[in-house]
Amino acid sequence: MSLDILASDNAVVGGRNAVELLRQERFENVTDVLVDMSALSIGTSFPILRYLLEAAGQAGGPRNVHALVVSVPAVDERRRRVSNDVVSLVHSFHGTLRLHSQQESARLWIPQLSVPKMAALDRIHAAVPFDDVCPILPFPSKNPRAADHVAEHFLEQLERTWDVDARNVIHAAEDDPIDVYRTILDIEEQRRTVFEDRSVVVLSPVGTKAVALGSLMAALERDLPVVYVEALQYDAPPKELQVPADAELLHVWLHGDAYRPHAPRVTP
Amino acid sequence: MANPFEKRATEYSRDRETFFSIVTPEPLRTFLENPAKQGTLYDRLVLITGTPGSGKTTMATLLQFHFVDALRRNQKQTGYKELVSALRACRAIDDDAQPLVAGVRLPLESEYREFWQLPYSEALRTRLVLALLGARAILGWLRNLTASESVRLEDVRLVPRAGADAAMAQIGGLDSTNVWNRAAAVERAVYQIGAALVPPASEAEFPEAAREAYWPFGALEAFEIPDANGRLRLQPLVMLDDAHTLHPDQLAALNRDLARRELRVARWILTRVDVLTPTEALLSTRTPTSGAEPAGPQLGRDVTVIAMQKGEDRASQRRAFRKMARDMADRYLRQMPEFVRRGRDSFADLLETAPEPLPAKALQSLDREIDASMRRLGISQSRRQSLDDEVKRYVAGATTRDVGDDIQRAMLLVMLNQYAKRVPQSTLFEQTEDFDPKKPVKADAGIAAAARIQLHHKYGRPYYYGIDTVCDAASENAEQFLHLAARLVDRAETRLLRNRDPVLDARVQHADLKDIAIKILEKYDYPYAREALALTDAMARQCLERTLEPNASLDGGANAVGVPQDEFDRLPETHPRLASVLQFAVAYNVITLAEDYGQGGKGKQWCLLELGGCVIIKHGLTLRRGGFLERTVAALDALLPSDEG
Repeated sequence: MSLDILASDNAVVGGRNAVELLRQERFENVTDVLVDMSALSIGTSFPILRYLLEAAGQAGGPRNVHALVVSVPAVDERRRRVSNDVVSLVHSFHGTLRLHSQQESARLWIPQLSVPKMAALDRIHAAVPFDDVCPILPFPSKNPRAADHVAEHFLEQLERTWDVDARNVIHAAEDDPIDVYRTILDIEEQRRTVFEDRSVVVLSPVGTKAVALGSLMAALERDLPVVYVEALQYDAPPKELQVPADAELLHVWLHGDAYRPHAPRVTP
Repeated sequence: MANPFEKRATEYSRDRETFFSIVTPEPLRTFLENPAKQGTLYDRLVLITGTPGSGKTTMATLLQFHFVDALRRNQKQTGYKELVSALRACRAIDDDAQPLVAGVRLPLESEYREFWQLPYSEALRTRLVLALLGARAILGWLRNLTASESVRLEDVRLVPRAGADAAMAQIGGLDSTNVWNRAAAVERAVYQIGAALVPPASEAEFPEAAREAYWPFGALEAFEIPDANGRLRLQPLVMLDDAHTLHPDQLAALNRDLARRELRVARWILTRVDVLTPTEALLSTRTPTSGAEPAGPQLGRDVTVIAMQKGEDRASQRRAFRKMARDMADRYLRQMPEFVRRGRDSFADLLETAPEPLPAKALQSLDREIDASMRRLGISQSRRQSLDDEVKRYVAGATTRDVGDDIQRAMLLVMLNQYAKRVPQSTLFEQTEDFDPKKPVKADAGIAAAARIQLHHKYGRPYYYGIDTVCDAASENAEQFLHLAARLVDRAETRLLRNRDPVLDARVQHADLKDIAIKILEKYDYPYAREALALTDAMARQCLERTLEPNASLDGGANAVGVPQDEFDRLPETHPRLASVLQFAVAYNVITLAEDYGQGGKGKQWCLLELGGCVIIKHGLTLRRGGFLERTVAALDALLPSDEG
């Protein structure tokens, strides 16, 4: 099946179209759905997973929902892309960000810093008025200097244009989605005790897929808005897109037998 | 401290005092004063177009009621007088500084475009978007009116349009608290439809608040609020910003409804320049069944169009921008304590305008080049002397001080080559006869301009310096001006901190401007950015080749390519990929268009594609307008990189 990510005017429609395609599928006899997020943008993979999780909770839905991703941060950081010039909310991940009746909410932005996505992140920052910024740097990571490398490229943003308090920097493991998931939930929990329901945490997991997966889990759990800029195309020669043989496959079992009490064993 | 030049003006809008201190009033006068005088600014749909960074959003932000109200309450404060005067000029306040309009700015973010993807009829999709906009406008107006806290929500009186009592009841009646609650409910209901993972299958499944009719733009005539002098009556003004994010058909449908002449609410649409979509197309819709001719509001009668970066008189536009940019830069500079402490409040004064002449060795090399050219071209000593005298004649009357020895020598070199082009060629072995050409070789400002740019390329003489250069390099885009200025301000501030003279000489300015221009171009990330950069680089190389011709046939050189206007008009059909690239190149100021440029015999009309300021600086071209290369659209298209990259 084919899927249009962009409309003729470059509007982002991939997420909505993906959900429409899935609605035509039947899952009654399906035990496991595995979504490989590796080559999908978050604009497409996030709504797919949301739909499947909501379907899994109802009769006729799949029994188990899994998310898979091949995480190669070094390759992700090298991949050049041509960005759209419109800031978008991922389909169905709007939260209450754009409700004008709740404009007084304090907005905290948690962007995952990624050098190829710098222009996109600048565009997001210019488009949405944030009160605070807590950028995510990769640590621990395979390359122990990865966080320094990224921070160095974002020095102007961190120190000047985004005005980031140095205490607000988040270090999240580059290959462990659970780490960033827990960190985001902790932050959101702490803010709720201070701001009650007048705080919005906004995610922009535009870097490595592992962090994107953790951000997805947090966004689903707390109905957090996810803001990004869709890529129009990737500008890398084919050999740069090849996955190395030793790349790690991450798997998160999002819903199903693993969480049911006294669930029967599932034979592989 | 953070350099304020690196932040957009609207990022300061949360701090009212800082925002007022950096916003320049010039755009209000330049673009809004005339339509206000003609009475066409608040009584009909207004379409305002401009490139990103041109100042549309800053203008709309300033005209929101809580800012206007704050200004008029503090009008005697130093620094606010010009802003108040500009507000008066565009009739946002009257001669007694009483507000006349209650403005609210609504950015048209991507979520509105998503409504066009919903599985409903066009009419229903349009109704939902208008309901959402109407609800948000109401919330914005009421928030603005009560921002000063001297007016409570219950003090706001809504005045219905004559004959719109039913519409008024639908929006909550005359009680402002009811109206607020109704707007919040409608907003939430419609928002849920757009944000839903799976939208409701039909209107019957909509939340109740989204099923009911809701049209505040048709219901309202005015707001009234208590004031020290009694009651203020304010015309509601809604400013829909970034309308280019909508689908073209969606925008046209919206415009059709908003252009209705019976509406009493003032409504402005701010959108990006789109070279592919003529303004008329933004206003028309195809009738779905008949496929008849597009119908819709008429320009002029139903719609006022204000183009922020297009005008017949480009010279005066450039002058106006220079004035605005200087004012803006000075305001930003006053936010920097290091400069304020030392009494440095003029950005222009930080930029030395004295040229850096060539050193003695380079002058000697230039002399040798002149001698060699004389021999090669077979020009006599007496002819050289007469051309030299012509240069001296020009220098004696020149208004610029950049006519030193090096410029004079370079001018002579150009004139020798021009002379050679205008007389019959002779070889070294023939007797040289000293002809007088039919068209005498004259020294003028054009030759001097040619001399300067050729000395820059041959000998590294600094070329880009001075406040006018920074202004012109911005291609009349406020944000680009600030980006270019930021580096210069940074360097001047560092000098101040080291107790050195902050004034930057020509060489330092040139190096910094070139560096930052290249970085700006490299950082650009928008659709077709790679193709636009490749296209403009190729155009620039051709312009440079022509610029450096020894006889300088285009004076200071070329910085544009002209294609026949009729070819350009057919561009979307004949060369769609080039059209798309140009669409974004123009939107992001990498190219600016000057259409219907008349030059050449028999009334030939050209469309000039002028290179943007950053491209010009990157390649060392002139910032002066006028010099262009004649090309066809096909030749331009051939400059694009292949699709495979």
